[in-house]
Amino acid sequence: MTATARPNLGGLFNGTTPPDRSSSIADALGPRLITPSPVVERGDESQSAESEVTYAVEPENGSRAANPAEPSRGSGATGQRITHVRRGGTHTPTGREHGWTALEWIDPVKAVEHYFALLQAVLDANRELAVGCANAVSSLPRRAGMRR
Amino acid sequence: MRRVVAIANGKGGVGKTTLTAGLAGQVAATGLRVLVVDTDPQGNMGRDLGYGLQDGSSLGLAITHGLPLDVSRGVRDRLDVVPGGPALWDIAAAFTSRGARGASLPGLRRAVDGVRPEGTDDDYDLVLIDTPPGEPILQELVFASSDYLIIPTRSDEASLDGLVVVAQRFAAARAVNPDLTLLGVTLFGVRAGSTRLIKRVQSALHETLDGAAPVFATSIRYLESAAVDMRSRGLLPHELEQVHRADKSLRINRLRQGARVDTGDSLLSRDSSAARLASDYAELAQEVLTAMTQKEAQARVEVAV
Repeated sequence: MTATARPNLGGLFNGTTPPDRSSSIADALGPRLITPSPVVERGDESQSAESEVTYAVEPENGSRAANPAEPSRGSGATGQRITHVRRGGTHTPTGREHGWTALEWIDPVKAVEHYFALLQAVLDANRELAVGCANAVSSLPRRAGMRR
Repeated sequence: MRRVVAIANGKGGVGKTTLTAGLAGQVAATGLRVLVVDTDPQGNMGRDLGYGLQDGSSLGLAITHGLPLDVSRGVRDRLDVVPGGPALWDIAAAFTSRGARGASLPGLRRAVDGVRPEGTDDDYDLVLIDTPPGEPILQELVFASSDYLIIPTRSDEASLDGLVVVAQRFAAARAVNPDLTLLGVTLFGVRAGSTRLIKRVQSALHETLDGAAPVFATSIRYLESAAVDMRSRGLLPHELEQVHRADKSLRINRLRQGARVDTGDSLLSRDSSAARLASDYAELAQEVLTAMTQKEAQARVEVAV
């Protein structure tokens, strides 16, 4: 075996090098609403009457951290509070009952496109203004001469 | 706590299925509860664990339609299996088709999470998932559902090239499963006594991995006769060792009684080689469990910091 003939794979395994292609299954593994059943946290039975919408958060997509403050080893429950599983922004929940903010419904790609479109418009306006000012300044001597 | 471990390489014939079966049997023999999931359409796990070959349709339907899994219970003490089979060839097509129209699939993790051991409130301690080498979608599905990855490799160039393939799939799968961690790489099927070769390949692997994961010190030796004995009888390495012991005492008894020693059903392997192979698996199982414990301790420290 010649190690020099083989690329260094450390980056791919520790996440510092991006893969050549994206995941072929990422789009197909989406969250689905399963049941609007009450969810009771352990040791908090007093809130059992509170009805919450739970999502069948795809386990492939990071359902393993029931508590974000804990390391996420081991598997988690199939249905969890959505506040516990929105990790890495890879899921877009589909329920309306939770009062999501508008930001959470925005497609990030479109948001970026809108942002750059806005930025472009501001730059264009700046350019127009700057060119107009420069023209006005450069034409001042000529105008002054004409008046005389 | 349940840990889900994928066994994968981008190349076939590097010992994924045999290693999965051997590790599962060894860990179950130590008293932990183990579930083996065979996502390989070839379904060879049945030969290693000695259960009848199946078509894998239950696993296929669980992944694509969310149906509950049929589990082969009690394949060994504390060891259950979700069998694979040819029906799993259909999964790639289902993913492509549904992905194209924006529909989602239940996936593997949900299916496996729904499986619990029978007759106890305890969960499985370890879920080992065997993967097919040439099916990127199936392999990525497994990666998306796992906590850890173990890569077995042989010492030849083609097997080591399989590492590059699996590294790309691993990195792509982290988009959907950022917690996936490479637990380690292990050399499989090396000729007994080739210490220099093992050291050389392990050193090259260290260099290739660049500290991302350890290369397990234990390598699994290649013993053709033991491999044939195990697969023909559906025995695991430590079971083959036990059969050898029983066989030996039977022969001694026959000798004492003056009867024919040959029972007509002799094993191809020698008892010493079976014992060494069983010892490889026992040591590797210990290394794997220790590596998991260390990774989890490290993760806890990182969270605390």
